[in-house]
Amino acid sequence: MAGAQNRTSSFKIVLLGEGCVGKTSLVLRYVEDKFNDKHYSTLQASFLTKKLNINGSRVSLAIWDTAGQERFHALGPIYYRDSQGAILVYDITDEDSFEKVKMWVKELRKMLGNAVQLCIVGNKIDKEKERHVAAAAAEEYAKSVGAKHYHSSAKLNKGVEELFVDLSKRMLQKKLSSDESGSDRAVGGRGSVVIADDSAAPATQKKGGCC
Amino acid sequence: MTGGMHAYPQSHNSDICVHQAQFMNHQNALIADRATDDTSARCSMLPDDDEDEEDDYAELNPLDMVDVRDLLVRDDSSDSTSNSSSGAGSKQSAFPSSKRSSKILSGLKGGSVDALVIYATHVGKHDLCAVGSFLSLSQADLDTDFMYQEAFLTTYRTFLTPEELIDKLLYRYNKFSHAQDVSKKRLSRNAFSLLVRVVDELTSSELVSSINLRLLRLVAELVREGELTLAKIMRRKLLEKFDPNQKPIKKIEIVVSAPKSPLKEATLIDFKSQELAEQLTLLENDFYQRLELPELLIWSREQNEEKCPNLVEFTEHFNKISWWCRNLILKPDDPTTREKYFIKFVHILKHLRKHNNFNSLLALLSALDSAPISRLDWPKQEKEMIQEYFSLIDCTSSFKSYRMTLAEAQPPCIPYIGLILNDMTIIRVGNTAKLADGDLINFQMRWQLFNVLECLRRFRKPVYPFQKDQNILQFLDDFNDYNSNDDEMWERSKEIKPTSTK
Repeated sequence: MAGAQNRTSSFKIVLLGEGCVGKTSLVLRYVEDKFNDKHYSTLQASFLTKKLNINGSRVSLAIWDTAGQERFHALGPIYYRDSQGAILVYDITDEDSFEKVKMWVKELRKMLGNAVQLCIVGNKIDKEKERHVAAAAAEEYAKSVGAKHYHSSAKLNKGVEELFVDLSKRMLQKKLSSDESGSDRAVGGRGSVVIADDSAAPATQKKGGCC
Repeated sequence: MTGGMHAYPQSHNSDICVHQAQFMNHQNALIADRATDDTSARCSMLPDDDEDEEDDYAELNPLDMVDVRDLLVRDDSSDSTSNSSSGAGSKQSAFPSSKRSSKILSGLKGGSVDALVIYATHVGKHDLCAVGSFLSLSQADLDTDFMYQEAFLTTYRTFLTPEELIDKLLYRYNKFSHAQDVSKKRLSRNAFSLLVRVVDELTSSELVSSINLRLLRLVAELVREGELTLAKIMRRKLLEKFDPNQKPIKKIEIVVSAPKSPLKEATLIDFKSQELAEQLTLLENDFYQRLELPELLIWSREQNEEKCPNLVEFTEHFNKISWWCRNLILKPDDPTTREKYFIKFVHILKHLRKHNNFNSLLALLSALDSAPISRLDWPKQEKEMIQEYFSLIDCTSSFKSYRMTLAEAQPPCIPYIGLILNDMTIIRVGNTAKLADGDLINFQMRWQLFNVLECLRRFRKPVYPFQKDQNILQFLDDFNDYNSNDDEMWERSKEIKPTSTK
């Protein structure tokens, strides 16, 4: 029991979605907070790590941004290999990008089942006036496929932190509950790993080497 | 006509289809001539001590400037990030010291568009010095200066359209072409040299009629003014660009030879894995060589399919190989045959790795790893072999092991293009196009893009020493007609092994 609380849980998150919907901006905003004062200057960027603390549980996120590779469709399996979380991004001003999200959902559900936590993210809410994807419909769709829907603006830094923290909680919860069903060691109350709603997130540290 | 013009060797006019390498010799010869017949060349290195400077400056067009070194923003110790601050101090030496010169380049943060253009034309001067070797510039300095020009040519499309650049260079050429002062006249020649490079590297989709007309008119003007050598160089370049037979790489043609029916019956198993891998590599290389580097640059910004036709074909080919592999493995009803195919592909992987064809390797690997295939039962040994390749392309630490392998790879090599696009996209989103303090171009971001593309260029040069095998090519048949429907693959997989037993 003590072990589960102290060990760091490592999760891999993959970002998928049409080109130019803002995947990279979201990740850079979250990991480096470098969307506005951009001086990003390393090539080793497509895979970023972020450490955070959720109610005393240490979580290490390894985030893979697939930006630029969208047309290599066949590569899907390699993209989402061993992912516990997937963030499917669309641009609220671009309906096609939402259709693309639906395709990813279908594929991920089929290939990974319920093992993966899905987030559907409507990005660029700073362009609310040009919205082409109805918020209600998107949310309803997300619900119907067991995903969670979020809105974000990497530009205004809205909804970004919340997205990653919430996903981390979900992955942690999933992990603890499957650990629990796997072994008899009880962690807290049965089947209910309560994660209080306080965002103890900002223990940020980018780490170069990965384990 | 004065200056080095007439001294220019006339012995190159035999062949219209001159190669780039020959052209470079041309240029060097031009430069060498100028160097030897004009010892006052050194003076032109000085930023501003020509007597008639003021007349020129009166017009205030930035493109009229003789030297722009002091207008470039550098990242040096004194942290001078504004134009004005570096102006006075840097005139003390007649020739850029090694230290200063390398500082300019390694720490070149950016500058105005015009300053960057003019600086790119300056390289000619250093070339001149290199040939005449009367300046105390180290080889390293010359190399870095040369690198700037290369970086500029590779990345200028991120802040300037080819048409705008051509306009600027023509303006500069015309501005100084009638100057009496030899050193000024040289400025016009330098602009012209760069213009020829720019024209040489225009992509097929950039050869729009407005540019064509412009250049044809230029050739006519040059002839009228008696600049026959320059006219000839430009005309030759244009011919090269427009003559379809000059296209460096033609698509591999598959000759449908006589015994068609037995080949149709042939299966993958009938061919040796090594030979299959060689032909796969030849096909892949064919698409790879046709990629135009500016396409990758454009893609990293706007993913415009019309502007990137070769890149689109390239990725389609990638996807097709993957679907071809999935189809072949899943299709047979007999489990032993399926297993044979699986094993065959694992062997092909091994050879692709040996030939540094990482692109095809990844396409096949993604097929073997796709859920409809990976959920089925396969021999343990082959499954373990695949694991090795997975660790090679493991994305953890941003593909550390793949990048290290690539760094050590000897060309020819076909790197995974997706990762190159990924790197470039992230560089462009993660950096501002302009420097924080105004309208100046952030050239450091362009250095990064250049580095990514340069690696690709390096790998592309040597060719694979394989012969085309028409039997295999015909068998592969461009990987056409394979099912690319995920659902059907999945259904097929479930037919073979129902889900309940998963």
